[in-house]
Amino acid sequence: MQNDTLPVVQTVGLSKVFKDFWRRPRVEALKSLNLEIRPGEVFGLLGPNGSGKSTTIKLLLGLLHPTRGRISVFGRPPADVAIKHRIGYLPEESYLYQFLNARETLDFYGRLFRQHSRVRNDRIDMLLEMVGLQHEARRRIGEYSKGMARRIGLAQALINDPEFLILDEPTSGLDPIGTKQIKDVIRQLGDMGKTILLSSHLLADVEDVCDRVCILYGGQQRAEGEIGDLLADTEKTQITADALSPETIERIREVIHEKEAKSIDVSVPRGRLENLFLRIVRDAQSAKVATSGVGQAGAIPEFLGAATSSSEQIIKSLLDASNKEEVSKPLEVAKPQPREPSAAEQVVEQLLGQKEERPIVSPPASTEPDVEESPDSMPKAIDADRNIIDSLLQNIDKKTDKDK
Amino acid sequence: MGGIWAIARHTVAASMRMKIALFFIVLLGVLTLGLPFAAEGDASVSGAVQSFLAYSIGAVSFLLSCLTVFLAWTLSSEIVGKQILTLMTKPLGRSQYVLGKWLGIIILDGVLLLFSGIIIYGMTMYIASREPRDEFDKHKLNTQILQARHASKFILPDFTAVADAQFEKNITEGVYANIEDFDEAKEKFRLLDYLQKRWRSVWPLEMRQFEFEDVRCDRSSPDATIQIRYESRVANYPPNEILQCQWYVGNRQKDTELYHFNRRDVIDRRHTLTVPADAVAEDNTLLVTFLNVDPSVPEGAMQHPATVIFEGDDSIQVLFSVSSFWSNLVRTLLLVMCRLAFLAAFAVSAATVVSFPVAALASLVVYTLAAMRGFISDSADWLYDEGVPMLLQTAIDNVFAASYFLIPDFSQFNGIENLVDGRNVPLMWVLLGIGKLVFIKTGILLLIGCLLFHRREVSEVSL
Repeated sequence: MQNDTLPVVQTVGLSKVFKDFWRRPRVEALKSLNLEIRPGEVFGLLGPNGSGKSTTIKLLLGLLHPTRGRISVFGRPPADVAIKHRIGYLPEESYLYQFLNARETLDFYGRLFRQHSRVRNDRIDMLLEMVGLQHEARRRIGEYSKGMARRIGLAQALINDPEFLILDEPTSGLDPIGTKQIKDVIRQLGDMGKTILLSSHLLADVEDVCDRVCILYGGQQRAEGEIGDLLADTEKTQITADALSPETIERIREVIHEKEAKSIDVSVPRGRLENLFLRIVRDAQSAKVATSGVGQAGAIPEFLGAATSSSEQIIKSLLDASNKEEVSKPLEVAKPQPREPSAAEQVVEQLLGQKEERPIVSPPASTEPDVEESPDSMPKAIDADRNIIDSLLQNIDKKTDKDK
Repeated sequence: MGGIWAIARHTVAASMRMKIALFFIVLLGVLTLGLPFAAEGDASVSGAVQSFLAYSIGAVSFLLSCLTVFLAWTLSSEIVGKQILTLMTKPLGRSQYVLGKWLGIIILDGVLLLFSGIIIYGMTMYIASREPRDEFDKHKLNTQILQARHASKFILPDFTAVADAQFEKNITEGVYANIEDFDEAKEKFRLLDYLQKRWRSVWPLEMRQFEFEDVRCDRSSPDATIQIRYESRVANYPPNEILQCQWYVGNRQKDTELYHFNRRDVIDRRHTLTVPADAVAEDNTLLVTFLNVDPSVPEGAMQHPATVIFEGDDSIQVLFSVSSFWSNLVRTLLLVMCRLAFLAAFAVSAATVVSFPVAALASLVVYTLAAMRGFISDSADWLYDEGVPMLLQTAIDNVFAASYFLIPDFSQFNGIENLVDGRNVPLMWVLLGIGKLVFIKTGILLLIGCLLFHRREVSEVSL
């Protein structure tokens, strides 16, 4: 197993210059990149097209040789075959063999890891189920849509239960369901302790799943850090609630104006098209409407580190997972701390006093309410409310102190 | 080894799925099954068998060479199609990848060669089962074609002592006294060469005895036979171009049977005498005596003064069965396989550095050079004529030497001629083929291919 103190990836002054036929330097694709990816983190590599993301990944995998600088992956040079046992890679396009079917494709890659046939077959079954292609396993890859091929690409990257997963534009070519599924998988693999390097120019993808990001432009590193630190807007507070009556809104205005001497904007939030789309698909799947495409995605296979009990909980279905995720996420960011009531608390107490119009408050990073609530998510939502409110109180306290 | 095997399996699967192998299987099937009906030879069964064997094995060898070069495309296509990007991130060494590709091609070649070999054997037996044209046809088929016969060459007497004695005599007599720049070694060589040529030339009414050793034929069976094959050159043709002469086979001094043949041979053709095996002595020696005496000319009358010259060492051969046709065919096909192994190594190694069209072209050039190396060497003989600058000679010599280092002479590893002729394809050829072609030259090529591929950036961007 990896040494937890040792970075999974470390680059020092990494540069790559592409040369022409006559070995004359033509393009400096990467300039002095210093990167460190720590064990267990989901690291995002962001940048527009041509910024050097794929070049960086190919250098890490030994597919390109650096012009200058040093790379180590698991403390070894990238060309070392031994470290490849611990790596999974999904390239920017799923470069698969058109003449093989999904099962044969995974079998071929499994053989390269010298897996016993029984283990290999079990893993293939689980991965096909995970990517929702168990019913299309015998179709030639050449007949697959781009999204289906992408899923098989992800499955092949996971066949060896890698400690370090490199995903280059993993959601390219995927429909919203596929994108969501892939993001869920990444998130869950991250929770299981896998180290993940995610390269994308789709900012939402990276924002949703990454712990830390590095932004590249023109082959140079422009920014790097925790995603929360980079995105936090401490100048604003966002309050989200179920529909309120004009009287309640007016009272809130008055309370905030009285306590904070600040005005607020009130508007009716719009649902996200993604959620609407996902709900329609879920309904169709529930009604067992026939499709030749991807089926319902399954759980993360046990061999990737998911325990049986949690794997049952994880990704029961795409939408179940997304509903729970959006509600329960604030639980992790805010924990109630016992302290003296402050002015802000009094404001909130007044708000909570409106029993028939109980507000739900979330930090700015939170998403809007779910399209549909499931019965088992309700108790968590109440807990979440309290935690979020506590978190809000802390923010308000900070702001009050700052104003003073 | 697991990685090599996985790539080899995949290469075979790719060729099958992409219908490349299927196309060649159909082509080989049509060719080997259809040729017996097209190849008639000289209207005899033995001729048909010989034509079929020559054409079918030649065609199978050529088609599999094309397939071998074509399958190297799978390597290039994986680089162009970028599947290599995924492959090289698995625990698969680059050398394993190159070796796996080579092994996959060889496995497919081997299977198709086996498939073709079985059909060739079956169809040969089918042709051989046809009604022979006459008794001679039947006899030739059974004793000279569907056999694996060893060919022994005669022992040339050592004339060194005679040449030296003649040289000493000439010195004593002052024959060389007035010769400037006299070269003793050259003169001795000239005398020796003269004596050998004189011995090979049988003047009218002369006799010559040719001794053969190591004729290890089966003498236990009363039906066992050996063949004396000869091809002479005649100076001063008889008017009807037919040489009348006599042969004695056997050695009474060694207590063998002695067989006598009066012959009327068409000049400049190869002729065969079939002799019972009891003409061979217990010590496995055989004495063959040639008389340039026309048996039809009455005693005291003059015969046509034709001189018979046995020029080459193989102008008279003794042939005797040492193995079966089946095992001879297997050895011939093994030699084909050795050549394919070499070609596959070249094609795969070339495909690691250049695009498929260039690799295929280079492979075909090497195949042609290897197949025609003897001819190419002979074509450079003019270099050694007087007047050709030494510098040019040295330069071209070095080019040839360098190319010979890697490009083999396929004629040394070709058993087709022997098989068609009913001559044994020696096991030593197969062992040399495996040793020199497969282990050394193929090994060197694969090593070069692995090194080049190791250095290559598989995701290189062309700018």
